This record gives sequence, structure tokens and C-alpha cells, in this order.
Amino acid sequence: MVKNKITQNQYMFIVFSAMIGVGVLTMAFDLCKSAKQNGWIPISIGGLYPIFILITASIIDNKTDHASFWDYSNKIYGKKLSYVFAFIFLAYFLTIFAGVSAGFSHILTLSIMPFFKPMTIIIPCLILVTFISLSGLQMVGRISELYFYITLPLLLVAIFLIPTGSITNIKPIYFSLSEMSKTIPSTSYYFAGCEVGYFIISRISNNKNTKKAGIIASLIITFVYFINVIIVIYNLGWELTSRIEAPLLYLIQSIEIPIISNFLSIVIFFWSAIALRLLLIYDFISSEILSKVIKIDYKKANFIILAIVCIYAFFMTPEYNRKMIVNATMPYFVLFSIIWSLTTVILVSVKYRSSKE
Amino acid sequence: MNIFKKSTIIFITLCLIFFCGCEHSEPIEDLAVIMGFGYDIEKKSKPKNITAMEFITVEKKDEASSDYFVGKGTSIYNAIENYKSKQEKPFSYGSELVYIISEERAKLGMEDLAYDLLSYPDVNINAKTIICKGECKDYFSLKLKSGSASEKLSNLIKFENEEHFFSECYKVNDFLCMYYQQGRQLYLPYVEIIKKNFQVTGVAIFNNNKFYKKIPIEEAKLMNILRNSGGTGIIGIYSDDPFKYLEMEGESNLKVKVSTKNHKLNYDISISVSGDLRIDTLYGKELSKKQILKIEKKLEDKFKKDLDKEVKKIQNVYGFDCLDLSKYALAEYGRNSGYDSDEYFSNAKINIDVKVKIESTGRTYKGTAKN
Repeated sequence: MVKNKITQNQYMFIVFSAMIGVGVLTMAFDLCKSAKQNGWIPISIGGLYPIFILITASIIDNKTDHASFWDYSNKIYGKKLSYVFAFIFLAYFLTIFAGVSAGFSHILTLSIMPFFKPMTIIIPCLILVTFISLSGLQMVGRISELYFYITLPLLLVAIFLIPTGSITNIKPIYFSLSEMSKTIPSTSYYFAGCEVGYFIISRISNNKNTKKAGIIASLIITFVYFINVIIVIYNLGWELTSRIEAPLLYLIQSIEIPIISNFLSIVIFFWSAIALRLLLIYDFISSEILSKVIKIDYKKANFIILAIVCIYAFFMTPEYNRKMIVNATMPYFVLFSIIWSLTTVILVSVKYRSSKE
Repeated sequence: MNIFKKSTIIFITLCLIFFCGCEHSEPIEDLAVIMGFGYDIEKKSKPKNITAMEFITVEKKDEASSDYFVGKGTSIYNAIENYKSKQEKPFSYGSELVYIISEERAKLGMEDLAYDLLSYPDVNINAKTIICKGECKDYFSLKLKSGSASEKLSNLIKFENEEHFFSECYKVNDFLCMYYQQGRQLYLPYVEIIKKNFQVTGVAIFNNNKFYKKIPIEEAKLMNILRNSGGTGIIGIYSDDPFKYLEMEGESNLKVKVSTKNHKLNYDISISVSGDLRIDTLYGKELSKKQILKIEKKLEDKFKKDLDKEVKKIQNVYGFDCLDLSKYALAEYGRNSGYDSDEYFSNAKINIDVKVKIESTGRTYKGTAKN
């Protein structure tokens, strides 16, 4: 296999891993605050967003005959505009990158490492991630694929908790548009990140069924989110869920397994793999964009990204800071990527048709 | 680039060694590991918080025993600070077995207590919660033949669901669920010291998260059946002759349906008890199918009568929903419907349907009477 290429399965797993981070642990809290006991409805509807993004990515890829992001962007928008768009995407990915590293350190201090300051966790993580990211896309794909199989049981650990809940906690089921629309700013964060598909889709070696791979990745992540949120509400009720910062972590503590005295620390240990995998993907993507934008070597770009993210994550360290920045910026980024993808699909189909004839 | 790779590997290995968190830690023998935590209050001119804590000590080699200290202060953490000034060892949370709340404390209110249990990240949410009579420190100071008081109390509650139809949900997690969820009231086992031993003598019922009354164990049995499913217990028919009675041991199951009629709630509670017939000296006939059906019918009638009486008492005398029935109404008609008020509950019509099923008659087939 050619280096710097990935298989279709690896593409699926990279996109899947780019969306799932520390959000699963805390998402029920945000959803229950406004949607109450029906918090699982907006997250199921939100699954349409990654499907939309990945289908457009696949359409663009097919229409442009597998040209890279830079090629078709330059052709459609011209050089100046494509630099602007690349910068917006870079800011978008860096926000997720720094946000997840800060959130990950917060979860660790909350659960098993109360004796650490956040930066003591963030800096070694980022150095480790940079180290792996130097090996290129192929390594990112391999790690995503391997970790998917290792961590899948962990994502479905909530199934253990089905017998203990009560059906009265999720009833009555009703759909109210005003309550659901309040959850949009917070739900947009959980599916954000599927845009990495635009940058890696041209590197797939067997690019026949990219649409199918994208849809499968979106369906898996929607299912994982759905099952975790509904089981948390089923067990705790929305009143308690909306009072706890990380409801899933709290629920995992209530699982009692003989011999194992602290199940939570084992879960967190494996959970770090999920968070590190996500950091790795964003490190790779953002350093690649940076290296193209300011025309430097990919390896040098890696170190610049490391420095930027360290500073960015520092501003996000107390959890309320992170929430403020993420909630303020993320809806606009998501809106931008929806508009960008729609216009690009239209322009691509117009421009590339004429060039073929 | 090779230098970077080498130095990264060295850096990460050093991180693993130095950042493992052993820096200021003490070996576990020198820690005071908290086993039991008591919330108490002193009622004088101004209420004063008291916390009593039991912890493990290792005095002789390879032999763990337990000791306790009492802290006093105006608030919970003031009291803990006071406690720490008496304690020479650093203490650690995370493996508590039991949280004791005294009756006096529960009467005054538990807002700060619930907040503490919810927000402190190291609280073991699988620890049991109980209401006790008298002062908490009496429970920890009790000299037992073996083991610590906390261990014994925790095991007492853990296996409580094997008698009197208690449920197994009296953990901190369940406490918080009962405290915060809409349409639910707190309902915890009540423990007393009787003849230098712990005993569950009833349940404590709460109105708006304040201690209302202790229910004696015989009445608590009926309340338990109406409130939760999955507990086992004994029901029977007794006659004047102390040697002639009928008893069965079974597991209860509860189902509730809600409907409304003329702005009044209508609860249909169906209870089924299935289990084994233990003693039948009342009839003493051959246990054929006909006879078993007759026994089941008799048990159902007797049991239904008791439960109806109990429900009447709860609706008219106590006047609030200590059976958690409101949560079914809220689940049916929405959280903002207002059906969880006391008024709706005491005016509601509650129909009880009891089904008793005898699954086995034990080793006997014929009755034990001599005739």
C-alpha cells in the first residue's frame, strides 16, 4: 500500500473518532437542562448533521475526480478566498482540539487524578500526540482502526445499567420545538468534527463506496450517543441528570463488580485512549492545513500547532471557561461548514461539468 | 529529528515515573480510611452540626480495628474541620460503607447534606443510607463481638430485601434520586440499638424531604409492598389457636396504572406475590389443585383487606404521597400537570388488585394434620 493513503474502513473510523471525545460523558447534562426527560430526541435528530456533511464530502470527491481540498478550492473560490476558508477550518479544528484536551484534563482531575493541575496533564498528552502525528496519515488511520475495536465495549458499558432504571423517568415522550431548539448550541458540539472528512477523503485508496462508509460512521456514533443518553435519563431522571456535570461518570461509579474495587478508574484508563485518539486526529489535520497555508514543512507545522494549542488550552482550563468559549463559537463554526458545503457542492457540479465537456 | 524522537521517549517515560502521584502520598496503613459517616445535630439555642466518623486503624500488626471521632461546628465542613483537629492521620474518602442520618437531623431538613453527597466527587455512591434513633456516635461506639459497626450496619441493609418486602435500593445513589426526582419522597430504613445490637425496626417516611414519622415494621411491610417490587417476605392467615395458621414466603411485584376521571386521579395497583407455601396447619387437607386455589383465594382476600386499610390510613391520616404513586401520574400526564400535589393524592381513588400464586408446596403433598 502506498504511504500517505488510507483504506475506506480507516476513513470510516477516523471520521467516527473525530466526533467522539469527552462529550459522551457530559452530554446528558446539557441535553436534560433544556429538553428535560426527552433529551434523547435532539441527539437522535442531530445525527442527520454528520450524514449531511459526509454525503456532501463524498459527492464533492466524486465530482472532482478525487482532487485534493486545495485543488478544487483554488479552482472554485480562487486563492485568496480558499486561504480564508482554510483559516476558518483551522480555527474550528483548533477549538475542538484545545477544548477536548482541556475537557479531558478536567474529567481526569474530577475522577482519578485530583492531585494534578490541568496543564500537567495537557502538556505530556500533547507532546505524545505530536510525536505520533509526525508519522503521517497512515499511522492515524491504523490507530483509529485498532482503537475502535478495543474501545467499542467501553462505549456500550451503559448497557450494564438497563435493569436498574425505571420507565417513569423517560415518560411522557413528547416533541416540543421550542425546547428542542434550545439544545442546538450544545448538541452541535457533539457532532462537530466530522468535517475532517473533507481533508482526507481524497486520500482513500479504494474510493468506490465512500458515501456508504460516511453513513455507517454517522449511524454508529448516533447509536452510541443515543444509548448513553437514554440510559442515563432512564436511571437518574432528568432532575438529577441536570445537576451532575458528568452523569455517565457518576453512573459508572454505581456499577458494582466483585473483585474490582474501583470500576471507574479502569473505565477512565481506557477512556484516555479515546481522547488521545481524537487529539491525534486533530493534531494531524490542523498541522496539515497549517503547513499548506503558510507553506512550511509538515513536521515544522506540527511543532507550531503544539505551541498554539498549549496556549489555547491554557485559556480553556477551568471548566466554565471552556464551556463559555465552546458554546460561543461552536454554533457559528457548524453554521459555516453547512453553508460552505452546500455552496461547494453547487459550485463543484457547475464548474467541473463544464471542464469535462 | 532523531534527537526529538529520543528526547520525547525519555520525556514521556519520565512523566510516567514522576507524575504518577506518589509524591505526597502516605502508605495506606497510616491513613484514616473512613468507613462510616454520621450526620447529627445538637438542638440547643442554635442548631449545631455534628459529624461522627468511624475509620480503620491498624494498631497491632496485621490486625485492623476501628475507632471514631466526633466533630462539632456550625456547618458540615466546619464540623469536619473540627474533627480533623482531633485526628492525627490524613483521612481518605472513597470506601465508606454507610451514611447514618440521625432522626433529629432529618427532622430539621437535609438540604446541605444532599448537596454535599451530590457534589463531593469522592463520595462512594454505593454506600448505604439509614435513619437512626438517638445520636450517631452511639452507633459507632457500640462494642461488637467482631467487625466494625459500619460493616455490620451496611450488611444489615444490604440483605434487608430478604424480609419484610424491603427493596434493595437504599444506597446514596437512590437517596439522591428520591431526594431530587419529581413526584417522589424519601423513604429509608430506620435502625435502633436494641440490647446492644442493631435492628431494623421500621421505616422513616418523609414529607417534603423532612422526617415525618417512623412507621413500625408490621405496617412498613404493607407500605413496602405498595411502594416497590422485588422484595421477599412472609404473608399469612392466623387463627386464635397459635398452632393453626397458614404462611407463605414470596416475592412481590408491583404494577401501577393511572387514569383520570372528573379531575380526580384513579390509580389501579396490581400486586402479585408468588412463592412457596411454607406452613399449612390451618386446613390440613391434601394439597390438590382445588385446595391450593382455595388457599390462594383466602390469602388474596385477607391481604387485600389489609392493604385497603393501609391505603385509607395513608390518604386520610398522613395525607401525603409516601408511596411514590405521583411519579406514575407525572409520567402519564406530563411534569407540569401538577398531579404530584398532596391534594390530588388524598382525593385519588386507589384500587388494589392482589394476586397470590403458590409455585411450590415444599416437600409435602398431604397436609401435616394428624386426622
